Amino acid sequence: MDITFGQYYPSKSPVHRLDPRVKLIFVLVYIVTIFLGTSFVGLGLCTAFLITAVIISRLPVRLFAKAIKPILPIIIFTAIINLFYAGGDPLFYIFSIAVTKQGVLTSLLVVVRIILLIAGSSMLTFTTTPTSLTDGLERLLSPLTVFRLKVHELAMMMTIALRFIPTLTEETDKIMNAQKARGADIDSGGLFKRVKALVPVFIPLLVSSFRRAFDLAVAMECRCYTGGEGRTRMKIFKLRCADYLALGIMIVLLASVIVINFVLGLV
Amino acid sequence: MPSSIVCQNLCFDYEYDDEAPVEVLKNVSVEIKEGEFVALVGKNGCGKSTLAKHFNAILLPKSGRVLIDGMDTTDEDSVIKIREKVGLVLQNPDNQIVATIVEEDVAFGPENLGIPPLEIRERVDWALKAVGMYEFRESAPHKLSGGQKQRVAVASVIAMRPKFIILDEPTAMLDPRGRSEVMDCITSLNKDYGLSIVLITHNMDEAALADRIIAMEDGRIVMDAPPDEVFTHIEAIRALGLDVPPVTQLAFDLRKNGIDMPQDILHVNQCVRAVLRHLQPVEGGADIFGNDKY
Repeated sequence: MDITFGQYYPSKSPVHRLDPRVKLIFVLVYIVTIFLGTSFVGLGLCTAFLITAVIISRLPVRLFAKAIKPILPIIIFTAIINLFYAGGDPLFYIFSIAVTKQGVLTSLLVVVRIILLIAGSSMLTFTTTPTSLTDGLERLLSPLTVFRLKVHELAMMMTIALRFIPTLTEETDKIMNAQKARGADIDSGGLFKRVKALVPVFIPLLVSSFRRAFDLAVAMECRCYTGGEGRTRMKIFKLRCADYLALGIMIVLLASVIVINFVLGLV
Repeated sequence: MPSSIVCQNLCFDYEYDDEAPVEVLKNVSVEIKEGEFVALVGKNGCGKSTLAKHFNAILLPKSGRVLIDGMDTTDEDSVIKIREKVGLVLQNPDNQIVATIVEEDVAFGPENLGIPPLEIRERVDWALKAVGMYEFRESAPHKLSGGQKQRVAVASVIAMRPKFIILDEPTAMLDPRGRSEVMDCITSLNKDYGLSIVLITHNMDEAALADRIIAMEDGRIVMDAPPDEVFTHIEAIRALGLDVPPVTQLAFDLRKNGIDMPQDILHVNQCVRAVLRHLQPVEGGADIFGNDKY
């Protein structure tokens, strides 16, 4: 059984090889930039940037189509709402509701913004493995331990969860087959009947997860685990040229959008 | 001074809320020295796993003492040092792998000890090479076979550079190929790297590979001798609910039927040699391997 975690798309492109911390910060700043960019010129810049990033990362476009598809209803809904509620000069009427020029512009803007948002954040999950994402997050948030936030423990929990997903998936399969062999009918009937049929699958799964958890706790204790304090890490995270370049591009992008919006006042 | 595990008059019972406590270890005294390969055998529930968990302070004695290099396991300040010296490998490899990448898992122990990154890298590479899993260092554990996963678990323990490794039925959940992979790895760690091994097992073929067999029954040590000596007492072994290696059984049965066979047969090749001594070479015939040697 081959399970690829999350949405990671394996490749060795320059974007894939960026430091996960840089990518995390980049996506955060990128999201802020999109919300700051209230003009078409600003969003155009963001779009141009995203398209370049997609080309560099060598990701197939269909991946993004797949990511945007589930939220298509939301996009359409927000577009329609914005179309009617903007006010201003009426262009034409639908059932005596005025559609204004401003309305069309805002709804277009909103649509572009949502698409950029989804595509941009998907870039992160497409190009970064969950493991390095967790690692990056732990290291980025580590200053917050000053505020007694259990950063290491959170990251450890995420890692263990990721580690046990395939194990438990495999086990679920086994239990389902075992129950089927005993005559359990899991795949047919209405919703209620099916949910009920899953009870004999989930109870053994739960019990065995607890057993695994006990074992894992012993194994971790045996390997001198005492929490995050005094722990070192094997992997050294070091920023390379490409990482600095990415951070530079990020600052330029943010600055130009701010300049376009507030200084030049372009619409 | 060589390292050692010393148990003195060790007693332990599992306590339950409303029932009477169950005595699991009854006055166990044993010493395991550096470099030894010990097999710990006995029926289910005889206390062998419980004893093993006392060796690295996972369980603490109710009375008596366990000393690792002179450090008492009940002393909280030396627990980490004790666990660094005595590693424990469990039965199910799936339940003891922490990380999502093989080398990260092997690094977990050294990371906990606060070792500098470059030295961790060295230890991880060394440990993975010692168990023959170096080329899988970047794989995800769930993509490995059972034997490979168990070898990763062994690597994760030896990366902490212990003196002793306790293995609690490490081959029980593996297929025959996985078993032999893990057993080869364990014997090589003992012979080539000088690590002391305590192997808990049900499989007498595996126990026969050790230098010393300790048999337990009902919380007590009832036998403690080298394999060739232990397996001469076939009836006593049987009485403990254990088997003897098939070749030892064969030699025993032949002996009972009046054929002169040595008492210390443990491995197939010894048995073949002993049987061959009784066979008359036939002119122009083939030997048992089918070679036209005679």
